[in-house]
Amino acid sequence: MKREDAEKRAIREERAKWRLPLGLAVCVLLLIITGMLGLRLDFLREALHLVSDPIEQGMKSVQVWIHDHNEGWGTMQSVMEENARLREQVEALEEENRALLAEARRAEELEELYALDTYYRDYPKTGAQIIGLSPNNWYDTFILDKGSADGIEIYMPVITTGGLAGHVSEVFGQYAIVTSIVDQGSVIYGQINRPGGDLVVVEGAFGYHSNELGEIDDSLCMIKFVTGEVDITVGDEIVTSSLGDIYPPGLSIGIVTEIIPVGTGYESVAIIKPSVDLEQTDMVLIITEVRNLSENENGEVQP
Amino acid sequence: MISLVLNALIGFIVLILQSSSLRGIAIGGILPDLLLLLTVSAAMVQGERRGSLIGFVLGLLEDLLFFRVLGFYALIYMLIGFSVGYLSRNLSRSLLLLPVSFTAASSFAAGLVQFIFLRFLKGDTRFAYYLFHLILPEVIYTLLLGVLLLPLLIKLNEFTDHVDEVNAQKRRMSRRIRS
Repeated sequence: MKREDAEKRAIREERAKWRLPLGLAVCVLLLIITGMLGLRLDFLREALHLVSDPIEQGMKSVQVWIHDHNEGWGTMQSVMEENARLREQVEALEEENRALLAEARRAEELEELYALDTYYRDYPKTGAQIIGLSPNNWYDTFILDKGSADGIEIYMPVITTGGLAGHVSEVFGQYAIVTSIVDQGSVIYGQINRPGGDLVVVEGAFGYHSNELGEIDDSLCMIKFVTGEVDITVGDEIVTSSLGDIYPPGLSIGIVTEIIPVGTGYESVAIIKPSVDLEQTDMVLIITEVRNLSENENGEVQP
Repeated sequence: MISLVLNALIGFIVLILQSSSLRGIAIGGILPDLLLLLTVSAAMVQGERRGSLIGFVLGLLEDLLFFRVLGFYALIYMLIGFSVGYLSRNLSRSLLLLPVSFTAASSFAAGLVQFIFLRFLKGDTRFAYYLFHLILPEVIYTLLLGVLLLPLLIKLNEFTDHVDEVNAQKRRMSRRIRS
């Protein structure tokens, strides 16, 4: 009896020795399968997200509710006063609006005349909520609550009312992951928003590092150009140009806040503050139309 | 078993919270590594075998929920669980100093591994920058939180470990009676 137990324990110990190498092998195998072979095992992720997404959404709405009530409770009185004042203002504005509508109709006719109706207000759009940011210091992702089940496809542009926010970079069944325009990998063909404005290439600058600029910690974009070649000044608005492959033309990217000469001054960098602050928004719009994409030989699409 | 399930559940909830509302606890954009605290406390109480298993499960959860390949964080946390469990075999946990220093060491090691694989191999060689802006702040923040949370987590793990042990003993007894 005793001996039997001892034998069993010995067998168990023997097995336990193999546990760490086994775990290592499983990890390496998973890394190879998902990283190098490109098999993404999405069903596992989606199963987890089925549980986690509703919780995240719930947390978010609780947060918003608490925030709203905190704000609203103490300021009820002033809100009432403000309401009365705003009513008057609304009437005045309605009057103004009527006048502006007439103006707008005239502008529309002019627009048609110049065939300028390619702006983005005509694109089919769908709303989505940002339900998660990365939980770690080492990588950046935004997760939206819509996925391939809602017709979302990779490379669809993501905008807010302010302007361009980024594009969908990964799509799963119920959710999608967005790459922001400030991401260092992001490259957009832009144009200075003036009649006959120059074409520029807008790069994400988050985490960019150089001698002149130091370390860029904020969510910014930048344009590198040869000094004097491009007609650009502080305060210029940059919009997407019609040259790009994934973004429709006319979306606001941001405002030039600073122009810094680099090195000997032959080149300069324009710093751009994006029109959109993703950290402060929780609703975005996805343009559900993918422009004609140019695929390279690997089947990857270059924006 | 109960211990594993409970740790995984806490890890899952912590991850979800950290990606939404708990981001508010970030100081200067730095988040503490709460999964590491879970792994260290579990490994200290339950030894290297269960410790590495719990680390593996917690890391895999992070991979599944947020990371683009599977196995990266699973590997990191599994190795942390194993080494902390192995080193604390014959050590007392009654002093707080021990789990805290394990936390510091493993948080620093995890930071180094993440720097190497997520930055250095992509051609970003600014080690000093990441050391002072990301790795050390994360270690310090995790440490400070660890001083508060580790005693609690260790108590919790001791309790669930005890329950698991009692259950295992019962099973062994009934098997012996049957044979």
